[in-house]
Amino acid sequence: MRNQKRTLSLLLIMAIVMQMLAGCAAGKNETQAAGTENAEKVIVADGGKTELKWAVWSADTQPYWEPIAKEYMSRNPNVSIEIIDLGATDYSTALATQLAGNKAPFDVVAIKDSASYISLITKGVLMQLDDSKINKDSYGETLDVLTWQDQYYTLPLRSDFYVMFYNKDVFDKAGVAYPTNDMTFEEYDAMVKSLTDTTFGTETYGTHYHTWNFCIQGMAAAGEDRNTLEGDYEYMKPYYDMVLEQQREKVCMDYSTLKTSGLHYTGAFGQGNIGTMLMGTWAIGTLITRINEGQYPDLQEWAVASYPHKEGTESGSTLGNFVGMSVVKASEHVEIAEDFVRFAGGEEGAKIVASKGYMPGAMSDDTLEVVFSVPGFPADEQSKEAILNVKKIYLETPIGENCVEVDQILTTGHDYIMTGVMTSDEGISYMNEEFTKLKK
Amino acid sequence: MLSRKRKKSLVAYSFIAPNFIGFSIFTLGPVIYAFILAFHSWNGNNPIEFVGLENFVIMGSDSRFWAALKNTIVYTVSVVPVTMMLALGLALLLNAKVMGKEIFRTIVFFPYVASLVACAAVWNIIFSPGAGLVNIILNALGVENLPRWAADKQWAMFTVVAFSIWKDVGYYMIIYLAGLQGISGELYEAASLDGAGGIQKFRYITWPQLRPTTFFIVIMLTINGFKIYDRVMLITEGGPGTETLVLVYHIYDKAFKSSQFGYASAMAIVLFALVLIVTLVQFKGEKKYANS
Repeated sequence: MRNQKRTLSLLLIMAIVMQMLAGCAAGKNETQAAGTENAEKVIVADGGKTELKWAVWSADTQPYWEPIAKEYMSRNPNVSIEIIDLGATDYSTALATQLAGNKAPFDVVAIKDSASYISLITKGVLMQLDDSKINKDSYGETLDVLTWQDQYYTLPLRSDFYVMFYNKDVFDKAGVAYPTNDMTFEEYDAMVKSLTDTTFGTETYGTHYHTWNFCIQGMAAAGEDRNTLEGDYEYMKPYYDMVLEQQREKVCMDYSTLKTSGLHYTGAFGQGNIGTMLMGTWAIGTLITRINEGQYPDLQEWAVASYPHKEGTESGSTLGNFVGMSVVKASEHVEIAEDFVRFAGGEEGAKIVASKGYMPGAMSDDTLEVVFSVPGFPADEQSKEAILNVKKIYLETPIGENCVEVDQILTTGHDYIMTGVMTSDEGISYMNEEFTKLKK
Repeated sequence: MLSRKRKKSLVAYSFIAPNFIGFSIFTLGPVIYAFILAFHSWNGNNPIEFVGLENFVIMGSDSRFWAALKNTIVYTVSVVPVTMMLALGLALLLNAKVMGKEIFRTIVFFPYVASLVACAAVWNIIFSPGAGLVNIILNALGVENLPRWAADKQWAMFTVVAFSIWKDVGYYMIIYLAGLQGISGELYEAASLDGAGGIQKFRYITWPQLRPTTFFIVIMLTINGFKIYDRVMLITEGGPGTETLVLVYHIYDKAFKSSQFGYASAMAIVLFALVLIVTLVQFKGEKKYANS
């Protein structure tokens, strides 16, 4: 009896220990994949000798990732690409966490913003690209802006810029003339105010700003020809004052409410009660996809116009952003990874990106025609002109040494000003002070 | 041959072993690592550098750290007594002969088991400044200057605290119910014979008998209060400005968004020390109270 009990307890102990060890192993995998909790592994094809892991975001709504992978695999049958979706909201944070410790869970990564780009370079995660193999002519200025200490660490898959989206029906209802491609900020301000209807239940907003700091700060930088990495932020005051006044008079939605409700800008514009929106050209692609899915029945006629400019300057300056393709230094397949990066970030990838209505990095007149001919793309003369007339693009977050730290100061200052915790003067002083502290 | 006592001890240890090994690897180890890391500077990829007390010096002049500390204390001081008293009140109510008390207990307990993300999303909708139920009702009652709740400087912390209380009160109510049902009915009978009324019964029987339960609940609430992160993240994201920025939120920011693992570890040590001190004070207080 006693022996039986002993055997039983020993068996139980073994069972528990085995389970615990199995749990440990699963736990380890779980902790490793903790950052990819929400990631969906989209395996695009099987077989193939070399497997590349490619980190992206929103694999389901950004329609160019998969076709690019498929096209590359069809041309290189010995390569198989696994797309790993880290989600859009915290993509850069998730990416940085996954790449910490100099491991290489990915071979190729998509870069979402400048701060993430610089941070990954300074951490030694990204590999320098062989510039002798890059066809620099196809990029124009876009590539130059992305160099770091004269080296190339990324090739632009997409190069977007901001335009003014406008809802024709809202303009018609208010009896206001459509925007032109040559509007000053004052004219823009007056126009959006005339579109606004504050009646409870049928509100119409003249304009919409997303909660990102550069929506306002970049507007100031583009308007005043300044670099936000250089401190001295007094030039932002008139722009903040304009937006704060618009917020007070309900010309645009309240920042704090937008932050807590998490309303997406395409969702807001798609509701059909927003007159204009200053947003990047990638939103054109997103709008087209969602309209085709039937998600925005209240949005009918819409087009784009040029970004407003400062009184006394010419139209053509606007805000912009890039999506980069980079190679992870610690990857085991750097050569093939680099080849894929050149493919995706080069002319081949550009064709696919353009065919979905997004602005590619390697832009040419032919590629632009492809973009214009995408069904649903606003291809009226004025919209085309707005896109073709872009002369200078100011990056949402410029590339520079102190990019990451300055970005934090600007984001915090923006939050303080827009939530009303500080006035625009106090907020700007705060940002200036924090900026000077950085220099020490 | 091992002695009997030895054998028994070994069996005992082998039962604890799985949990303890897991605890050591996944909790104790990283905690010790964080303690060491607090005196270093590391961004996750570049080599770890020893910097001594520099992280703590930076903390002294970090205005967001002090704001976070203040908010964490405010949050804890608000949540602990209110949750406790509400839980006790509900437990007393739902312990008496009330019709449908099982249903009410379920209703009160339900938020605790419901998904946090879903609850937070619904809470934000109800408290939405523009179209939320709360503001619609307040508007109908004629209230001007409707608060903007989670987006309002003055009401953001209140919104988070209210959410926390609503979410947790069911759990602590259940614990109190268990405590109440452990009180011997004879005590109440004896008190009735002596002519004690309801309030006197509560003061002299219920409350003292519940002291161990109360002690446990207050400790749990306090520790959870200091550790709060997910609720703040979901309701206000630490805003507006720094109104609801709490310590763990700031630690997360510095560790994963700014890649300053050393500094974040230093702040984590400060949080650990804070919780430890408060808990020790509570334990000492309990001993004193027990002896008085």
